[in-house]
Amino acid sequence: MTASMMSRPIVTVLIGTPPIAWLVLALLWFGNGDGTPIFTVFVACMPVVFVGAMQGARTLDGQLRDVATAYRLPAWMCFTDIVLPHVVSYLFPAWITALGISWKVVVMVELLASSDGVGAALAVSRSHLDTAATLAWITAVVGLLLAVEYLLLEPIKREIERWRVAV
Amino acid sequence: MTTAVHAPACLEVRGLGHKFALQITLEDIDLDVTRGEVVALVGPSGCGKTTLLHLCAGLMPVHTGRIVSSFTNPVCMFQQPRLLPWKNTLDNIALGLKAAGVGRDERTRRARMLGLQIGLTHEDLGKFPHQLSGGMQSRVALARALAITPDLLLLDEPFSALDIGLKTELYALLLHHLNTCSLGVLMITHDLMEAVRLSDTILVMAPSRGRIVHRFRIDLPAMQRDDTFVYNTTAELLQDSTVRASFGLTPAESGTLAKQGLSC
Repeated sequence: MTASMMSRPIVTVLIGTPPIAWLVLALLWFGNGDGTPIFTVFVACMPVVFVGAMQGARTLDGQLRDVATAYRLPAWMCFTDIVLPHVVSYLFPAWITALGISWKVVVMVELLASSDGVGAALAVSRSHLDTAATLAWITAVVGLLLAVEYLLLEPIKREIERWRVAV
Repeated sequence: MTTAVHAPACLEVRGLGHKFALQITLEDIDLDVTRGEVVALVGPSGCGKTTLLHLCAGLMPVHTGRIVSSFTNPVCMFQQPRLLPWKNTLDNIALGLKAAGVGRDERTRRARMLGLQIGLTHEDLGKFPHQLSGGMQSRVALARALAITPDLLLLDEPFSALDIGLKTELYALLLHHLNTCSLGVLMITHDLMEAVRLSDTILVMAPSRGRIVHRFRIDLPAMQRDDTFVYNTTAELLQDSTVRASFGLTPAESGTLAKQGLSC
């Protein structure tokens, strides 16, 4: 029984549980403080990142391990030169997905559980029936996500994945 | 693998055996490789050649028999180039140097020199493995092995996937290197002609239980062997009944031997 087989049901349960259910639990456990959004975002994103890292670790080429042994690579080099580049190439897309999820979840949590932040502001504009303000907030949130993804993450991804076969 | 101190450096394999589960893949293997000598292990696919090499390279634990090596810097070249896909050519060549703790400038300088020596261009040195052709990847793998100035080279059919032109080119590179710094070489091949061209001693393995069934010595230095010599010696080797049996060939008939030697 491998670690990946053992963790599968846990991961499926974590991914399958709706964030709103976690939010209710978090409200009961942490109240209205910062703990609630932090916990909910963590629980919603962690399984996605976990699956990415697990796939990366599982698919590591055993032949490259032999190369590491044959060329007497020290342990730190096995990690930085063999394991890390491979695992990061799986982790990075997972991080990008997790970022998208966290963006959605945090606004939702703030709307329902916080008096601060974009979600709270959306709650206020909803109670004022203010469509313009609502759309403005939505535009700001989505625009920020796009900016982070294409101005920050995409260039990093391109740089660390230069070695991949161009598609 | 244990290290003993006595000169000249040599690899000594005595009574080596290996089992995968209940299946015996190697039995009672004795062989020696001394510095400056090229030993070829020849045999059909699946006779345990790669297992033997992996045991000598320390990639698998030895259970039966012993391997004593007084070589200090052995290196293994695999059947496939096995370059790290996320490193460019230069960093791939320098991998062993980095592991040995050579500084960045020094290892880059040495890797560049070696890369140019084996016929790569400055442009190739910046490329990633997937941008190189199969032949170039093999050359890079050879350069990576030679970069750490090994005293023992373990070769696992590294040229078997290459066309005849590239093979000849890489043989020349290898022979040149063997001539300039005397290395011990243990090479695996299923190509008798390759063994005759490069090696001083040829060990023929049989598929059943992985034993060495025939030993053949060539005294003419490898640099002086021409095509005729290689063809004739291969044909001569193929007349031996144990060699024919180990490759699953029918017993020799006179007159067809020379032809079979050529086609091998």
